[in-house]
Amino acid sequence: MKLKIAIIGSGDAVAGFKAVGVDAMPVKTTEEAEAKVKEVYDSTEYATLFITEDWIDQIKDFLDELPAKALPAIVAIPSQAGSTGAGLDNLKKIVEQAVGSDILSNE
Amino acid sequence: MANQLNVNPTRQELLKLKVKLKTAQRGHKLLKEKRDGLMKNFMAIIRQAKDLRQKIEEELGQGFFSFIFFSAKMRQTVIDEALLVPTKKVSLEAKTKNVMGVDVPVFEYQEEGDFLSYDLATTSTSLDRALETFSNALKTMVELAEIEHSAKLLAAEIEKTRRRVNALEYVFIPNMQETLKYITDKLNEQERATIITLMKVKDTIAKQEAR
Repeated sequence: MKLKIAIIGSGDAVAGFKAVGVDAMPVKTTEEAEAKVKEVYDSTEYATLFITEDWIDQIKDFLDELPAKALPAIVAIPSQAGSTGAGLDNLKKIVEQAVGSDILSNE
Repeated sequence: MANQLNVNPTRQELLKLKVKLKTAQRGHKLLKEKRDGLMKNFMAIIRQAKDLRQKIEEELGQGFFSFIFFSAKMRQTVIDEALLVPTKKVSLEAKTKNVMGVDVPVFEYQEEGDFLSYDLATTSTSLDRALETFSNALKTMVELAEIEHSAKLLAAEIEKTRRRVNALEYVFIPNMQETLKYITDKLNEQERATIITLMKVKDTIAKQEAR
């Protein structure tokens, strides 16, 4: 099964990825971003959905409510403004859920 | 005695409970093993995920840096034109792998074509550099997506399994053991009562005959 990759973020951030073959979905408002995420999430054509960290922060509540599915994998990537730490925070949350305490950052 | 189950203290219930307890104990052992297995897998990939994330942050940082330089130097129309029709195609072959009963995705990255499809005369070299970085970073990103998503799914499963193990270990099994004790006590008590009654009856009869 061949699946596509999608990326959601501000126009500047995703334009470059469009050229390398990713389905770029530039968004301007929170509603737009949520609608796009839903669209990608409900279709079965996408394997991964990258969202830039600045947008992850804005639609956090919406993303938390999405039911867990094997595909697509939603992953945060740093935006053109640099990393906001949302990606690492997410990783930390995963570790806390599984282990009970954050074992990654005390190294 | 507060936590015992609400059952009648009969021999039949006792037998039924004994079978149930055995099943629960076996389930508990199995779930505990599953939890440990999941944990082992989880620990193996979580560190990898962290390293990959840091790598991507570095790589993309450079890519965006070049891209910003490019977009600052060019007019918007030129940028739009250059990026309008991508000639490179990427796709993922997605399979699932079963890890301790959890389906985790496995991606196989495939690409075809080249991104160099725009007018080299009108665009700056920053674009080439940015796109090359993006193109390379994409592979790492897909890898990260696979690992991070697996970690997420495993974490959810670990939490679920741990809850089950704890519920069995601290609530279900102790309650059942307490109930078993209660029923055994009650049955012993009944037996003693019967013996006493018989002894009393025998005593009365013996006294009557002696008279």
